[in-house]
Amino acid sequence: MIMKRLGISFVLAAALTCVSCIYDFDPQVEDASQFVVVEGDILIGDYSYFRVSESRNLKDLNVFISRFTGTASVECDDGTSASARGSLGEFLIDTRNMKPGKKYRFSVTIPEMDGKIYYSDWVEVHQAGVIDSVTYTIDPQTKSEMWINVTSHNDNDEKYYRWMSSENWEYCADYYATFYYVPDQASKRDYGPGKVLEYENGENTNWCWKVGTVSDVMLGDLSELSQTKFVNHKLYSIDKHDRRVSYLYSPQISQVAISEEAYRYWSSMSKNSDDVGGLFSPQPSECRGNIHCAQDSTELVLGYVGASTVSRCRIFIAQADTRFYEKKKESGTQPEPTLVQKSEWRAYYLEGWLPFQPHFDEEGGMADPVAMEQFDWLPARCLDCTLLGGTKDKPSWWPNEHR
Amino acid sequence: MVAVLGAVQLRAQNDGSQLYVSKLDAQQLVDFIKKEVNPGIFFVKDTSDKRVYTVRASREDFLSEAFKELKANSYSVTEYDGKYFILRNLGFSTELPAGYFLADQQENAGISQEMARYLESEKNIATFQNKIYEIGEKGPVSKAKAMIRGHVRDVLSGEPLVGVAVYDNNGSAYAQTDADGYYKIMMPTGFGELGFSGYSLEDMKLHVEVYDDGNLDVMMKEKVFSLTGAVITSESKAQHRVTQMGIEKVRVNAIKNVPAVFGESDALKVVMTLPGVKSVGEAATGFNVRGGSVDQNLILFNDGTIYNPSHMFGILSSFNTDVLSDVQLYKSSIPAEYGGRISSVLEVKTRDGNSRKVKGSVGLGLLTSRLELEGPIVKDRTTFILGARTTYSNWILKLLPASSGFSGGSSSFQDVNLGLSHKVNDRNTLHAYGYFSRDKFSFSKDTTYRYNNINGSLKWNSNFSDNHSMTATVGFDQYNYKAGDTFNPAEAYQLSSRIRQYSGKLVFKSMLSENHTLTYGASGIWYDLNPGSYEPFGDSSLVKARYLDRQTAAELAAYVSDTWRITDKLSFDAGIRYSQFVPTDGKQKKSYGGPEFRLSGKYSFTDNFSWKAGFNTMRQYIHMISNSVNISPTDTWTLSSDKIRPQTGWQAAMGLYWTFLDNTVDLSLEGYYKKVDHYIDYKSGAVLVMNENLADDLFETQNRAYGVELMIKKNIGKLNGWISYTYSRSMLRQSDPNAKEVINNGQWYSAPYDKPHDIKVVGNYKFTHRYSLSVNFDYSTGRPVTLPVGKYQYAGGTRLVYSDRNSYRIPDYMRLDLAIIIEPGHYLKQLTHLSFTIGCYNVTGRKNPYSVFFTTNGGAAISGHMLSVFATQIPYVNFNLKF
Repeated sequence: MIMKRLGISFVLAAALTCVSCIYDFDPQVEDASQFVVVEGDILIGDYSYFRVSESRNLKDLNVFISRFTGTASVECDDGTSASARGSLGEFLIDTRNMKPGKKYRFSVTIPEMDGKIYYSDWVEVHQAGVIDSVTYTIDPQTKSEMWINVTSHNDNDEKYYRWMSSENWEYCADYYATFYYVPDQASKRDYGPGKVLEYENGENTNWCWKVGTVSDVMLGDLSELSQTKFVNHKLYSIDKHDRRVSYLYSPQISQVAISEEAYRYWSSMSKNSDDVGGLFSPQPSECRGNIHCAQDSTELVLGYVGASTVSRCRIFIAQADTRFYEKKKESGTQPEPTLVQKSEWRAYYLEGWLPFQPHFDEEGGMADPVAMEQFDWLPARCLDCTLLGGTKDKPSWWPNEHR
Repeated sequence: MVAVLGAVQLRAQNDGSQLYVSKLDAQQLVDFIKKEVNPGIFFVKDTSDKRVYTVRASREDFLSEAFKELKANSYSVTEYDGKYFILRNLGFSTELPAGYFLADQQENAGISQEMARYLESEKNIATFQNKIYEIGEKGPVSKAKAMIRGHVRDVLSGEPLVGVAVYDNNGSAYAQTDADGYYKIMMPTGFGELGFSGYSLEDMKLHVEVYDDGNLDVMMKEKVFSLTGAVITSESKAQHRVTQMGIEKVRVNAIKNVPAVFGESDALKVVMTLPGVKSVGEAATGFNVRGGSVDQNLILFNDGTIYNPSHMFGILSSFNTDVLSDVQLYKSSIPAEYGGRISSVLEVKTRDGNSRKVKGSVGLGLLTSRLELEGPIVKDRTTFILGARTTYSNWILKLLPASSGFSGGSSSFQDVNLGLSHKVNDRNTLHAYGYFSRDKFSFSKDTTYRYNNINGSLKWNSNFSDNHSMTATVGFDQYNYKAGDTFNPAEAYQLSSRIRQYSGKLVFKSMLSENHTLTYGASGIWYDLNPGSYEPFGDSSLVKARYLDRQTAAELAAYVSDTWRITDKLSFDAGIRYSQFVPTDGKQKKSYGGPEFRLSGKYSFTDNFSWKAGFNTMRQYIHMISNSVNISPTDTWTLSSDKIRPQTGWQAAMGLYWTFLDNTVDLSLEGYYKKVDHYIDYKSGAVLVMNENLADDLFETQNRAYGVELMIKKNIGKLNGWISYTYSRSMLRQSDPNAKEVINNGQWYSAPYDKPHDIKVVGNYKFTHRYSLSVNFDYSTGRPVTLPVGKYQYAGGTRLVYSDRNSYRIPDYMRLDLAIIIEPGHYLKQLTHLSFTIGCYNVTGRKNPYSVFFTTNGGAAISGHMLSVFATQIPYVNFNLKF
């Protein structure tokens, strides 16, 4: 924890010093051999999710999808085990009935790797403790950074912790479109102008939901503190232009306890990816995990599997309360609602525009309430939230009535 | 050198009782007085005096009127034995020998004889080049060789001149003036010629007739630029006369001429322009000598150890150039009196204050403002020199917009140097030095860093007898840092660490005979380290105070070395140092010790061509704990312990030295091979801060380094400077069989500062006395780095797979700097002298990389970046006002 903070500052030091600058660099490196990567923790009393994949070359631009199948299991030193078949490298193992106080290990057999078996060291179960609250704080001076903090305590003698955040957020389009456009079918000889129809039953393209996982490595060390609790321990920050906090943001924080060895593994991973390149940055170094190949003990396998109970806490952060989010000012002229004549509807549609609302005249009255042919149009990305990566799949537990 | 003063009208009228002269120059006036009034006048002309004099007075009063005029123009008139001595700017003092008056000797030969007699009547040591000085009691000569000792000082300021070469012009005897300007040399009895040469000083050759041991003090004067003929500098002389090799000396003038970033001239940056010295990047004051790490250099500032020589993240070094005298780097033959570090010793010395009048200077630069003040406390006996610097560099951080989040950032430092010297008597000198520096910086309101250097030392130089001298030093050094973080009030902490050391050192020099000079003595250091304390900061902090065990230990050493001149051509220097490291904190049991050998030999084929070889072994008991490549303010140091063995190393080197072109150009070629054992490296994921079991996170590494350094150097003339090329390698190999992981499969790999090719050019061209152009060019291979070679998805983000350690390099480094230096007019009458420097750092604006790193941007895209510290041209102007 100590070094990480100092390290970050020194990177800033370098970036700020007078005339220094950071510019792009594309080094020619030899492609490394591919390593098997095992990710996941044995979560006692819960489902355990594992992902087994391979490392890629630096320049490989393909989406990370694992080709692995096979069977994975969590074994207990009392001889019991739970296993699951997987696809795309993903394994969900039911470890709900497993108990602390025993030793566990993960193993996986991968047909795509000539049936090689990969297993972790036997690990003891750590007690996660209890998350008391998750809060947010906004830097009172700059108001540009929001921190998500955790307060938790643990009556067991656990020193090292790791947090994960799986997030859901709701956001909305820049303009709430109350109408939508239906183009004429191609079967007609001449394409007509199409139709503009009003949304019914609260349907909209205004509200969208998105899920994510915070990629920051979040670690805590209680051995530095005089009490067995974290008070407003800062986990990760969100910039004021980040769309996640634009409307309603909901992180679910999971807390697990880890061993000292695992703590070092994770700090090393964190330093290697976050704290590099500064004037006083440590030199990167690869920290060995606890996964081995049964057939070849010299094979380097990436990843660290630990075992812990888990404590979770979810909060909601509403822009209506925080007034934190600021829409990033885009360069160039901003699109404004534009009156589009019916004859041009199709052309605008093909250009990526959509109707927004009926056109109003200068007195504020609807321009043609009867014919409904006068509409203001906008580029689709201002109206359709799904174009920003989200979906209309609202979580069942989401605390508002939006559709 | 006859000064001709245009058309001067001589209108001397002799109208009985009234004498009248009009518009005479000083020489003409004196000639007139001699002819008309009093022949017993001795005058030394100052060619810079362009004034003309008009005197009208009665014959009786004419003398005093003329003297009044002359005195008004900075001449002094002293009566002695019924005769008058007239000198510019100087009173007669008993120590003023006449070496100063060389320029006028031809035209004033007769007078000089008189004056010499006058001076010698005061003290039997005055010197003129065209005179024969008798050394020892005149009489029958009883021995073949005799010892001449004396004091060499600057004629104007009275400052002792350090490092002036003193040599027998007909033989091979060679000596250098010590830190107080004293020298001792064995000369054959009978007639001889004694040479004196020093950097930027006019050479002197004195004819001596040596009867017995005796004294010869010398005043030297600064060189006037347009010199002709052969001029030999002490450096060239030393090269062929001393047996040691790998010694680089940089004078403060040279330091000031080298263009520097922001125009802040910097001794350490100049050291980095020497062959065999490398650094990992631009903002680094840590330097690597012949493939060694940064903590393997002993940095001595007036005998005090400096643990962190950097200000402002390394942009500047700790040393205020205004008070420095010179910087000397021992990179190969390290004298037996020094020890405790594997690679090198860097001696930084401040000047003694001016012993005649209070002087000073103020300087304004982009980052710092400087004040320097010096002068006598008791004239010619006690002097002081004070230097202080402070920054106003906060403006750099203030330029950032408030919304950047760093508006709370700041960076500042101050440092103060104080030097006192007191000449107790002819044989004893006392010095006291103090140094204090304070650095403070932060980048946001919730992090602060501070560090301090404190050094104090007392030194006593004593010449017991003509061939026996002693230097005794006691000192106190401290380095401490504090880093505070109030990011989260509940976890706010203050991290600090402190090194303290108390040291004492005795060095005796004894000239046993003409062929043997013995140096011996003992030294002791008591280390007192608080490697770390971690404390809560603020009332709401839950941080548990933690303190690492205090470490204390003594490092004791005794040494003896002999310089043995076998023939004029062949000489050896053999030394042995025994050092013992004794833990005194009661927790560590192991004591370490061992002999260190320092051997070097020289064979001169001719006066200007020599061959040298050397071998030395070193031991190091204190280690810097840092896995960044640079010296960082939060680095800690640890002592050797039961688990951490001392580093040991040896170096063998050989060199050829040739001086040619009328002794103006030195060419040297040195090669070396070096090996270090028990060098410390770190396990992956090692915790270096506040780690009670630090030793478990370390492993031992071997280091081997080799290289060839070629350097061509021109010390004098309108064009001076050096060009050097170095080919060198420095490799590491994990040697600890107990370490769980094996770095790079136990193979040799490049050290972080392994930069094979290296070209450096430092040059200065003087157009006139006032204008000169300086050039600095630096090219080196990029340093090795560990780069990512693969990526994988883990914990919600893209992570990197790194290559074997240091198997790639960042792009090569290249930089060109230029500066124009404008010196003040050389008019002595002027009260203040303004000089300024206009320059540009990194003229080509090349974006030299400091480091390379990759960001994963939380997603699939990996982007590579380079950090360049000074990525553009940095023009600067620097003012210096001397008074």
